[in-house]
Amino acid sequence: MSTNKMRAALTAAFVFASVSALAQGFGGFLKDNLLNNVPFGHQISAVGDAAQALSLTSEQADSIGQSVTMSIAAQNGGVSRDNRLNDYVSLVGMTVVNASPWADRPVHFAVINSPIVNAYSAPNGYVLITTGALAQIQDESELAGVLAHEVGHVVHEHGLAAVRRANLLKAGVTLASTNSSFAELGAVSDYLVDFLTKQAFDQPAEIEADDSAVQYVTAAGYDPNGYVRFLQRLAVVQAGGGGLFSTHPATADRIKRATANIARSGYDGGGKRLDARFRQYTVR
Amino acid sequence: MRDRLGRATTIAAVTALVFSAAMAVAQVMYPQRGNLQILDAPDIAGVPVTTVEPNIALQVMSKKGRWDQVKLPAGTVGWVLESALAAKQGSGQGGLTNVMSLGKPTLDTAAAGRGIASDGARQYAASKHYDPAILQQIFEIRIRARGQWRAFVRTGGLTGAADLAELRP
Repeated sequence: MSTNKMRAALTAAFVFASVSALAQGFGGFLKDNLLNNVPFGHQISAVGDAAQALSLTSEQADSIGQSVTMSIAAQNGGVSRDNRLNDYVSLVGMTVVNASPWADRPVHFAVINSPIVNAYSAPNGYVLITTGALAQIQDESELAGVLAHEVGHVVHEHGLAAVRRANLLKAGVTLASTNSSFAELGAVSDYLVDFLTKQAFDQPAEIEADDSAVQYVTAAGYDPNGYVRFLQRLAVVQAGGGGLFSTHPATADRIKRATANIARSGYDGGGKRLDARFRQYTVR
Repeated sequence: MRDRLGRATTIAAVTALVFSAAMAVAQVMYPQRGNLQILDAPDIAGVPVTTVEPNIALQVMSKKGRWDQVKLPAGTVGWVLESALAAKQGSGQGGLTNVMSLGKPTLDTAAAGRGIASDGARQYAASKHYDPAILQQIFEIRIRARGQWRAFVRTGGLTGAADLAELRP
């Protein structure tokens, strides 16, 4: 190609590129200023797979999460009045959430006054841990692991998946098409409270939450082995019939898998345990 | 002189091509879920400045780890997780699926679970004789903790959040 032809081609390209850029800008203007004025009622909202399968809006899923949280707290001694302890658990939980796919969504943490050793998660970002569970935990990395496991249940919508499997909402369309569905939302909440406090997630859900827990705590800067240590302690006590975390049975398979995940992740051993800080907030 | 003019034309054309290529990849993105919060900082302690719906075009201005800094059509600037955005409107990914929403998603309803008890939860509380103040107590914990979080991460020597690809949903 001669120099003149090359210049002509480049000049043509320049003109084309300029027109193209202007067109893109105008297209963006149209989108921004016209398409965005679609009435709100016709806009789409998005929730996760399980909520979608139930035809739940994000508001309805949140309503269930709030109702379940309130019910579990009310039935288990209420939320602790120790603000310092609540704030500490929330700070550890937020650190874990910040390293999860839910970093841009609010997840609420609280301590409930129950000697039962357990932790609970409700749909749309609610995690409760009992004072009994805190008494079994020895450092901040272990607490982070337990909270991260519950956050894993939230992220993967295991609670709503259980509702779906229970076929409570054969007429899920009803929920999505009317505002007066409080009774149905209440029935779902009742079911979930019963499920979360008396039954156990199935093994695949527990494993998925475990896998997530190891990922989140490692990314947050904690020692992921803290979670394994907690599971090991749990397994020993559960084998003795201690009833700890009865809704989260710690099996040898889960411990083995979590250990393997840590090895595979390339964890460099630099994660924090923060046992002194844990004692500072939890020991009286 | 003609040579100099020609060189200038060539440089201008190449510059324009590069610029237009940058414009082409850039970066109009769409929320993958409704009521998506736009935060004032790229971490969990960021305060929501507004919420957006899936049909709102967001211009990505910069990136920090897993977070995109975006500009709304009205000019508001804020941060959002990159995994919450996609290049095509309504092309949900990673387990986020679109469904029809009920009613007008005002900031109040967007705040459900973010500090305000929902109507459904209030009715549930009344039917069970629970004190809805339980929820308020829980909301306040997070509000207090959010203000302490960055110092908490720093004093603990925690990374806060690593940019792990496998964390993306």
